Amino acid sequence: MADIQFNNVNKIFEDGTHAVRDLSLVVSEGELLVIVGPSGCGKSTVLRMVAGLEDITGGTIVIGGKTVNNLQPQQRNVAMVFQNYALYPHMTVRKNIAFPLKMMRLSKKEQNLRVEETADLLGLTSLLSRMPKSLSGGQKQRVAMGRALVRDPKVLLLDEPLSNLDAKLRLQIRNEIAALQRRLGRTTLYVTHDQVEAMTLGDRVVVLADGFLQQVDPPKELYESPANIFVAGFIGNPGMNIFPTVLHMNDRGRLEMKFGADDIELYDKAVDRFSGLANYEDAQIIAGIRPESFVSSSQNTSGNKVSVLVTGVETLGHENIVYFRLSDSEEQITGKPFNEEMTTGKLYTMRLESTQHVEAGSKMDIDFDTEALYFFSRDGKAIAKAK
Amino acid sequence: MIFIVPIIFMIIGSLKPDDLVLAEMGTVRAFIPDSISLENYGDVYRRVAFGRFMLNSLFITGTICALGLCVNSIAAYSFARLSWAGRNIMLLAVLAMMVLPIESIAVPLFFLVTKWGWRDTYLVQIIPFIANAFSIYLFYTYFISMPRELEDASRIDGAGPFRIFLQIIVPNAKPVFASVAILTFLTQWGAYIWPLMVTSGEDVRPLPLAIASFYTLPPLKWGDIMAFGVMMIAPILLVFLIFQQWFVRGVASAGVKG
Repeated sequence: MADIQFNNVNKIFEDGTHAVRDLSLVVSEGELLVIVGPSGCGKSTVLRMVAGLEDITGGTIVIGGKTVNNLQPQQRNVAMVFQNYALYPHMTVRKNIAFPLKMMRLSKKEQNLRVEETADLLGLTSLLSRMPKSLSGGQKQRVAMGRALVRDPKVLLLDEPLSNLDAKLRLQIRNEIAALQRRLGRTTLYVTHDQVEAMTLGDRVVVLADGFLQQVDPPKELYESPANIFVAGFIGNPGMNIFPTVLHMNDRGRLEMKFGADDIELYDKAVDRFSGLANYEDAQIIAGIRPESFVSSSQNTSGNKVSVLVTGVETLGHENIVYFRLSDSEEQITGKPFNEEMTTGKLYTMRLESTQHVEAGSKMDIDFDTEALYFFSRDGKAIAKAK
Repeated sequence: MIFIVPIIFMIIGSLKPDDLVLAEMGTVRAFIPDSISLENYGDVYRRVAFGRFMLNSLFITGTICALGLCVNSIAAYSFARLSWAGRNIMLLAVLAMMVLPIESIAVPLFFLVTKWGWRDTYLVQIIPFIANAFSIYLFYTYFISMPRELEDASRIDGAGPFRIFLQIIVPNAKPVFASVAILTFLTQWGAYIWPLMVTSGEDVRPLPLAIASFYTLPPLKWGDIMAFGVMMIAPILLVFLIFQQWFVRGVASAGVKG
């Protein structure tokens, strides 16, 4: 096992694409670090640079105290599982798993021993003589894991390993990977675009966007304290509702926030959560609220009732995702000086229990606890929480 | 029908006594092998050194096929997967060469090989045809469509470029190897113009030249000519039958309609 250090790592492709920008990060020994981000954010490039499949344009990658920039993939003692598994189609499962050992020039006896140990670990023993094309997606995925683990690598790299599986199998294999990683305690970098995978698997999660590291934190921290509006919008399903607003002091000396045509009074606790929120009085800021923080006003306790127009409902069985606007006008939100239209026209989402009947096109009253609000400065960075 | 009827006629004609071949032509009896005899085949061997011509053709075609598969696949792999200076220009040049028929460069090539003293050798019939633009193109389109992750995985597993090519790429590219083998075999088996230009003696001449001179060898015996023809196409049919399953798949997946 080994730790991995990224020191100001940059990757610029031949066509000028700056895929990874100044990435500095330490992955501890035995940690499962998930890298998550939208397509094209540079997450797979990071993994490929660790594997040695892509050159590093700038900075250094250090694995177990050794700078690996100029080492060939086979010299780094890392193993990788690919999105499409990349099993060798012309080899049996046994030969696939044994291939790295053959390259290490281990004796036949040693190869067989280690293949059988690995097959046993992953429940592949009965499949050893099968060809990859006769395996199911889940079995292929396990064989790919076996081929990666058999050589006892210092670092395990997983590049969207569950993307090709159906939802049910994905859940099962996700649990298997989590259990395996806990058991083996191997330093693992796991790339995914699926934030549910990221949140459920990672000891810590790195969020990347446009090649920049946005935040690296444990999943709970990421959800509760997003560093900026990108992370806030990306983490959570659906993501946080984000809208521009202004704060002002009302007659009673309390801060109020513009939400459509309404003024929402912020409770003391809501204000106290952030250091110096009062300094933003009359300034344009960005507010955020998670879909699960809205409630229908029949459950209202706070008195911040807002009338909304429901534009769509997605029924998930145990809950409904409700889309709504604050008025009938069309959306447009960020980047411009605040005006009321920006919040009223935007499409918001909320989660409601399935027992609450809502229909698209209807009007309803909703409410939210202002303690659930997040605030970001105009440049998108989170306003620091009070210690 | 137009393609298959003459072949059936030829096979059955080769088994009939010489005088019946022409006499029954145009009737249904031409397709009925009523009196089977292998005499025509024996005749061919008695009248010309058929064995020699067959060996020449097999050696020349076989060598071109074997070396062509190696050279063209390696070249195509380097175009498809390795990065080196001038790769794109070279690839363009190779693709451009696909449109040049051998006849268009035959004369300058003839002067060149004459100067080198290669005439009347196997060498002159083999060397110019090993590297082949169309074969490179077929290999290239196949390799470029193979998932890159296979090579990435084997690099991480510790394999070098040659091992990757031999142990990962080649075993998974059997269809294109079969296609190129068949197409090369077909082309070279029927080569006529070039061998006619550069060879004069029986020692190194291939079958197409032999059958051409056999037509004019008195006495004119149609049964013998049919037998010669059957023996000449037999290896092609054999090669095609062996590889046909891969061939069809290879041509289809290379995106080239046969």
